[in-house]
Amino acid sequence: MNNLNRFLSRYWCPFLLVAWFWSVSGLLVDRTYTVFLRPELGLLLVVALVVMMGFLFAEMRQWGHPRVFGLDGASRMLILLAPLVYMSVARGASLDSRAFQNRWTEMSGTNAVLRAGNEMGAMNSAASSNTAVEATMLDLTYSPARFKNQQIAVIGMIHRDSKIKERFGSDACLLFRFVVSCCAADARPVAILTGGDVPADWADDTWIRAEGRFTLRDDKGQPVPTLEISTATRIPKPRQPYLY
Amino acid sequence: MIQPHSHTNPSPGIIPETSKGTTDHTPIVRHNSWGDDPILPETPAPPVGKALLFMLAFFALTIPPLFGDHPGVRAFSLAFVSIVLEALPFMLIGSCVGGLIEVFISCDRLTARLPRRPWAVTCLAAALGLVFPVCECAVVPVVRRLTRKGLPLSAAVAYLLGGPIVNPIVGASTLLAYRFNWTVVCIRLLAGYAIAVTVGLTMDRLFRYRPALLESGDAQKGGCTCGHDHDGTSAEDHHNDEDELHAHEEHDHQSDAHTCCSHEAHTTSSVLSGRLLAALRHATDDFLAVAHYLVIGAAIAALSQTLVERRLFLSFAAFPILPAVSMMVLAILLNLCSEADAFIAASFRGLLPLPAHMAFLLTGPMFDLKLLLMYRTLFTRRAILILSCLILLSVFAVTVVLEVLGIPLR
Repeated sequence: MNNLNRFLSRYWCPFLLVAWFWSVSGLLVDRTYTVFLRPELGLLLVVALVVMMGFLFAEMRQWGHPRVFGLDGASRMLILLAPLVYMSVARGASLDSRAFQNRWTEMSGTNAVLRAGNEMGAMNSAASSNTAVEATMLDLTYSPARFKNQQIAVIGMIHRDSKIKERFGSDACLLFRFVVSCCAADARPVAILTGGDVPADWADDTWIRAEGRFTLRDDKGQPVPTLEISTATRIPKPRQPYLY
Repeated sequence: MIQPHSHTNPSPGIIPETSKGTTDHTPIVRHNSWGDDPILPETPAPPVGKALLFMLAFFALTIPPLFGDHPGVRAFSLAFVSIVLEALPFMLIGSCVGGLIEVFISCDRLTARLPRRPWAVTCLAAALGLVFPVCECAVVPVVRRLTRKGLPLSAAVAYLLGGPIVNPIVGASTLLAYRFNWTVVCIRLLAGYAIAVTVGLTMDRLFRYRPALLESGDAQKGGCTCGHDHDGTSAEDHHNDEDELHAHEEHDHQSDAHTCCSHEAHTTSSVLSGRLLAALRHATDDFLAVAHYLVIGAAIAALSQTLVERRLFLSFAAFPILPAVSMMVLAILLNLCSEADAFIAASFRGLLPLPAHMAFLLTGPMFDLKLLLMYRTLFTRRAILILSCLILLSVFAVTVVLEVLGIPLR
């Protein structure tokens, strides 16, 4: 036991640094860090790697130098290893309707943006067109008036909510995505209401490409961005599931 | 009466952090600069607490292999790792800055350049973020080192609270999130500055005769504050290592002449690379001392992100004051970076009044769960308690003033 304690007191810090270095460089190499952070922040992770290399270099110059370990050190080591263990679980994941439900603050949340969007985009409100315009969920929620009455195509995930059905009809569901400012923890959902042809057997979190006419539906005096879907296609999860 | 140690830091009210590394277990009793109240070291965590923490940490590591497929665990993991990865580079950079301060800036040089009047140094420190922008994760290791170099308590608190708000990056992100609404930006920065100065000066007043800042236990025994274990045979090995370039080689750890505060030994090293190496070692120690608190805070924040629905906080919107209080709670639970929190606050635009937005924007960078834990590496428990109360009361006061003024949020 004493030998183990002695060994750990000498090597737990370099071990921890190597584990972190290995994991973070792995995230950078296969670009899976974008699951957690916006792509530009990869540069910060590179800086983190450089600093960790510096730490490792300093550790190697005093190789085997003991640090206080004991129960405190053991707890600290386990705690600092925890993000690496959880990283393996989260690597293939992305925010889904569960996170949407927790973070969504009702359609009126979009309306707040809508008002600003209306003011800015009212002048640009185009006449209806038959060719579908590719738009992102961010375009539709930030500048809805620009797309009003146009045929648009948009990519998002489905979310069915009993409250939305009660309020907007049985075929209503939400099409949503997440907008990331810095990391997935601060990602906020943007959503539009959909009506029309979305097969009932498509579960929540299914990625679809929806085409249809974009309108602003009136809900107690508040405009709600709505897509009257004419065609919906299931698609695989995009390489970049988030908007930035 | 036991006399203070010769290398006592000039800041009043500093007490040893732990007794780690000491060979005898006699509590070191120190007196503050005025010599009245004896200052006792913080009692170390009881063994039961340590064992509990170890078991909890061990248990947490078993969850991913066993329940990794559960959507809740995946959602938690995503938020948890995101918060840690976002904060990691800033904390590493902050630790490096702390290490460089430790090795390259002496107590004398620092104190000589600071204004003499406490209010002046506090006002200056609260605005330091304008030239040295840091987020709340990076600021803690920097302040840890600065306080050990003699930065007064009021200035330390002012920089700790003001740095993450009163800085150009936060100003720009708030401006962008609120669609160039300068009112929000100005109120956030000015109120943040005012709170930082007020709380800093109040803390200085309240803790004039009481300990507020922790000091590394190693400094107590004449060692440096780097946290290295200098006792026992292993330390001998370390110091006898011929390849060792660390400036500690030149230390005489038994000598009273060693003053880690001024870092005579480090500064005597004529080789720049040796000093950089020493700075990196200090940085590593700082990082290891603070990072686990960040991880625990991130875990709690991720748990609240996974379990708590944000729309709950809107149920108070119709009442006066309550929206502000609820947004303060949300800011504490979410643990967002001060450079990104404005985007979350802005998503409540049109749903909550300006005071509630300000409550969120001011509370988060000064006081959240991870900061609460990270403050444990800086302050005594009593100081943390009072600091927390002061921050929350100050933010609340600002929201009340805004409520009374009735400034609308465009």
